[in-house]
Amino acid sequence: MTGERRLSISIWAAASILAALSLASILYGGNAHEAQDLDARCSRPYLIGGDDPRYLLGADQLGRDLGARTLAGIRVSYMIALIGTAVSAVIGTLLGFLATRMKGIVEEAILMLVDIQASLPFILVAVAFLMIVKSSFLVLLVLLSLSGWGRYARLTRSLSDSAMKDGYALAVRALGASPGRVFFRHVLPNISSALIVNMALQFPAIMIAESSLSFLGIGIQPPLVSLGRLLGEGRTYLTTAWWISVLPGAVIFASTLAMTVVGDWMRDRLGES
Amino acid sequence: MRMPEGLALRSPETEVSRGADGERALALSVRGLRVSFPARGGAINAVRGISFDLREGEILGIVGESGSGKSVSCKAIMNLLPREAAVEGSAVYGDGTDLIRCGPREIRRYRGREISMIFQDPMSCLNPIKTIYSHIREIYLRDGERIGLRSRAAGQLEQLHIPEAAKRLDAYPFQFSGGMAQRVQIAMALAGNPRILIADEPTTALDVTVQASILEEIRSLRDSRGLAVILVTHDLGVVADICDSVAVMYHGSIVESGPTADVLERPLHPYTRALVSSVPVIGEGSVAFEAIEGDCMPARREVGGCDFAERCRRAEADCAAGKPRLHSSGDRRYACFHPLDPESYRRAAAPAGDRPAGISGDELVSASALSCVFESRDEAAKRTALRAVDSVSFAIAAGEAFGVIGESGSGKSTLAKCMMGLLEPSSGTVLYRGRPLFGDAWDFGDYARKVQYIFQDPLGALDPLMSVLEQVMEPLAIRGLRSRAEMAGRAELMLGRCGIDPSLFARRPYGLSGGQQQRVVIARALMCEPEFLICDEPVSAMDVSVQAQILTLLQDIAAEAGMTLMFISHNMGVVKNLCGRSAVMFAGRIVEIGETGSIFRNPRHPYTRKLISSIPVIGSRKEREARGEGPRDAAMSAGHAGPGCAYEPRCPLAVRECRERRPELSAVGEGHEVACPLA
Amino acid sequence: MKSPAPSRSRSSPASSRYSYFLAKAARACGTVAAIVLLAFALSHASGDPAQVFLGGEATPEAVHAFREKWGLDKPLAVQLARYVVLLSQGDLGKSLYTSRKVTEVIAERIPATLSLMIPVAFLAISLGILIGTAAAIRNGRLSDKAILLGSTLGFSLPNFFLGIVLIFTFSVGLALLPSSGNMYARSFIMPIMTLVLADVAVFTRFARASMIDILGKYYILSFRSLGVKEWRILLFQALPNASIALLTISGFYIGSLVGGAIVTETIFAWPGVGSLLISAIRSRDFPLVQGLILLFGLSIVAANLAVDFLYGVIDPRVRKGVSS
Repeated sequence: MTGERRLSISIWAAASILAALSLASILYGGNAHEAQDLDARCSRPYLIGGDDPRYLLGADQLGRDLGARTLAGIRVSYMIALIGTAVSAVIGTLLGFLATRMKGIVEEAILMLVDIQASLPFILVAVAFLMIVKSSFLVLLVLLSLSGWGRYARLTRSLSDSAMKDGYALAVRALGASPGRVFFRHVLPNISSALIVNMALQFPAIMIAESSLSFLGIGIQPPLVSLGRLLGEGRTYLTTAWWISVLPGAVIFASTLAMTVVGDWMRDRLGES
Repeated sequence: MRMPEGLALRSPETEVSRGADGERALALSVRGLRVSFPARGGAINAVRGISFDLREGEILGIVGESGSGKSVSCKAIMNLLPREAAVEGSAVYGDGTDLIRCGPREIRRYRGREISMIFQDPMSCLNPIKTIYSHIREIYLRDGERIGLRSRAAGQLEQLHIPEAAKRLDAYPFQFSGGMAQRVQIAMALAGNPRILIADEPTTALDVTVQASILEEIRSLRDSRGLAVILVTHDLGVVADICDSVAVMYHGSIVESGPTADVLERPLHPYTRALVSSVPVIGEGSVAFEAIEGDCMPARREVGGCDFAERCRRAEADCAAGKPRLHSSGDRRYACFHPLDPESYRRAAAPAGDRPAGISGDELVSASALSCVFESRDEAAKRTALRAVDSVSFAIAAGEAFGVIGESGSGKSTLAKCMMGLLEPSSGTVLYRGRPLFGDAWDFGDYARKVQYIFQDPLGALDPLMSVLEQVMEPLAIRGLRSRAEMAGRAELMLGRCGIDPSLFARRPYGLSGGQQQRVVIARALMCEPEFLICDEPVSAMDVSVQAQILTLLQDIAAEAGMTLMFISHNMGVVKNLCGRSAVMFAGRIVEIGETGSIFRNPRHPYTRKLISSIPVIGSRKEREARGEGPRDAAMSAGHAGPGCAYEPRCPLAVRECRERRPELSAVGEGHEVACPLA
Repeated sequence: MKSPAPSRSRSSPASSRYSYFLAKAARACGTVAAIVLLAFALSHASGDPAQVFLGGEATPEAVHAFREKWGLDKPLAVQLARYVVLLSQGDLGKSLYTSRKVTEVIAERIPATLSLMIPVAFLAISLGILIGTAAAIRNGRLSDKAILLGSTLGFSLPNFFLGIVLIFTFSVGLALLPSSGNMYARSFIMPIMTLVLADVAVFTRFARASMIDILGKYYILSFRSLGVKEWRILLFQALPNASIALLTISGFYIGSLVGGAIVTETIFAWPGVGSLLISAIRSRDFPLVQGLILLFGLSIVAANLAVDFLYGVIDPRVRKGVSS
């Protein structure tokens, strides 16, 4: 089946891209991304005809090695996206379970929170927040975590509800199991696949959200580097040194694409069983 | 190979069956129909070469269980299978065209106009956001008609006994009951005046009383228009009711066919006989179940010899050697190396006497004035109360098997949940060993040790991720048992007792058949060593040949352990065979209660009478009216709000008092009570 | 241990004709309340609201007048009430940067934003439905896979990156299209493309999934078995159901459109309210930022409410109130 084979190739490609980028950024140590060399400002990347072999991928407006900066940026962007995804997943799942378990007014309140969170676009809330609180890695992390929990809560609640109402969760309760046992031993393992798929598909969304903010200048602040920030910094040099923007942007694109492909594939696989 | 006298070998492909009415024209002639689907690991042969004839005005029943290929065959004839399906053979329509070889444009000329099909679940066959009129109108437009559509549509609905047809045209599907939705389907199917109607399990999703009226509808359509019908079903009773001839399918092939009465009363093929024997019969005496082992062979499996051999009691060495070919004898056909001697078939009579009621006499559990009221708002936002269970009282003695009979909306499942302690009643009490449920001193965990519950949907009751063995070990783990080895050992023993092969222990639930899943559920429930087992429609979702196995298992286990059973079902035959005492529920109330045999021999309440008369029975054909139903069918009237009798709107005996005063249960015989003053 | 299942015989109130609309209206009110609260909190969290609102060079008289109007010496609850009253009167203060009324500044930039958002929304939805349906009909075949691949690509491409690439190609490289401003008709091309691409991808994916699901339903098979023409089934049976499903994500889409507009306007120096927000933040023009947040927030809530109401009216199951 050509179709299927093509699919598995793209999965492997996607996974390896992500792995390679992550690995590279982890292995990269040192401060090469901060070393300025004003003589080498906006050097053309060696790979496309530049002069200086030290700058394989070019230099930015202050002479810093773009390759190094990109790797540093990957580190920050990936970390934020990963941690943000994980934290919002945990928060959302707990709240979703709470909604199922407690019923009554607690459930209504949580649902209303989810609704409110879903109808307000992240950028708006982030912008408002960042007016008062100075932007930093931690602040961004908190914001991003708070932007995503709604979907997990909704998912957990609806899946747990149907399991508890008529399904296996009710049956196990009828055997005399405590609610805790029912949730941790039975419900959670079953909904975890849906949650994981959601996490895979949230990751690109969070990455783009952080990049957008950094691009606009209100996200990650120097001396930290993020891919979005690099893109934003390079905007004014588009005519002279387009690689400053395009390289980080391409990395963002590749990452989000890879993760979306993986997420889609996981959803198809887990949905079948 | 011993051949009964009088039968001769004929080649299957050229055989044309001729019945007593051999002069009637052929409406459809199917030859060598094969369907296969591509799949990982080889093709799945869903249909393996079947041939049959359909004459004008004939109702042909195709009977089969899961994996038999009956639905796929019909879809193949109408060219409705997905592109990947590979179809061979021919289906020649009366005018000489081979429907299977037709191109897409040609087949559309035949669909709906010469040959129509209706499907199993009528509600899902209607577009939920479109009105009924819009559905029927689409059919008229297909035929290029433009004027007078509304009155025509109303007329058609009236013909099918839908009351207030003109108003109903603007209703949406969700405002209809199952029976009415099926009638709309029939109206759409017959609008183009076709000669053939294929009905794929048309009544499976409907209540018994509704089923009876739909079948009558089909029969009267045949009588008035000479419609030829192919009726696909798993229910032998339905076949016995209206089909002139029947073809029995197993694993993609026809194993036996012929005139209905003949085939069902004097079966030649062991599978047919096994099917007939697994159906509990309500007749003069009761007859025993004869369960056949094993599950229906799924379509993807291939075996060298006869497909049925592994489940067949009469199998011999040559049955595994090759596939039997279709033989003919008169108008009967069968595919078996060792067919039965038709004259020697007799169903074993049940053990003498009805099952004794009330074994030990001590009351184990009782309900008094039990009510479960659900509050909601109706369309006009008024508060309404849905009385799912309405002041119900009864008692079950220890060791007894107590039946609850009811259709959808009768409140039987709600009652079961109350008894199980899963749902707190609005008023009234449930006493277990004299102690009330839901009281202050009541502990659910304790109660769950003594009372267990078997659900209708076994797959839904099992954790999708855990292995079978783990699930059966779970009750022990909950009790705090630590030793995995001991837990596993006891679980394995129980699974074996419930008929689960050790090779299945490590599997997950979805890898098991429906019957096997229910066995796992039963095993798990039994691990708690309960005194009282509540079974809520435990076999409704299974193949007929498997139902008997599960019922026999329950029977044996209950007898062994001296367990008390409460058995809820809409299938009266099952209840009759299992339960000594029963109650009939309607609209949340008990309308009749007493010894099961007595209720069946002498039903007093009008609803009970109607219920019993609706059941299709092998061996006798019932005459019934094709009366229509109102917006809610007979059974779906949960939540009757008025002060009087809930059945009054549909009761032929109703007088004015019935609307004013609610009837109470009063005795009409030994242990037999009825809630009807006119009974 | 108590009984595990819902203890009382009380099911959740079945939806009546009104409860759906009531619930949605309640949600809208809740969200509006949250937004207003947020804006109020902002104005206080940044320090003395008088300073924040009037800037450093304000005269003492102006400061005093402001304190009076806002009741800054009164308890917080009173301040909140006054704040709400001021808002409802349309008094959002004056922009620090230009000393013009905030409402004026915002009002003159709104048309530019709308001239971008409306065509984008229209294009995204209609193209998405068309392409998604085409893919669904050819499910499993090459064209479907291609469309799926394309929509995944479009979905993953961050809009700011696309904008940069477009500018680089068409303005810098080919010098065909202007990279900023909305002066010419052809100025519209790149900003619209930037926004539309990701949105079309989202709608295509959704429409495709929705149509595949609908086309697998039994009522479609039933109509087909009765010989109804395929195009009629698609147009009159399948598409209406898909459109209803599409409505459910339209509410969320409006929110994302606003977010996209903010980024895109900044990239293309488009004189709309999105870029206004960013420049207001940069210059710490607090009244303007607050006004914009309120504007965005409230219009999103209003749009969501409109979509919810539309859904409630169109879907007969909701309209007639299905009681379980």
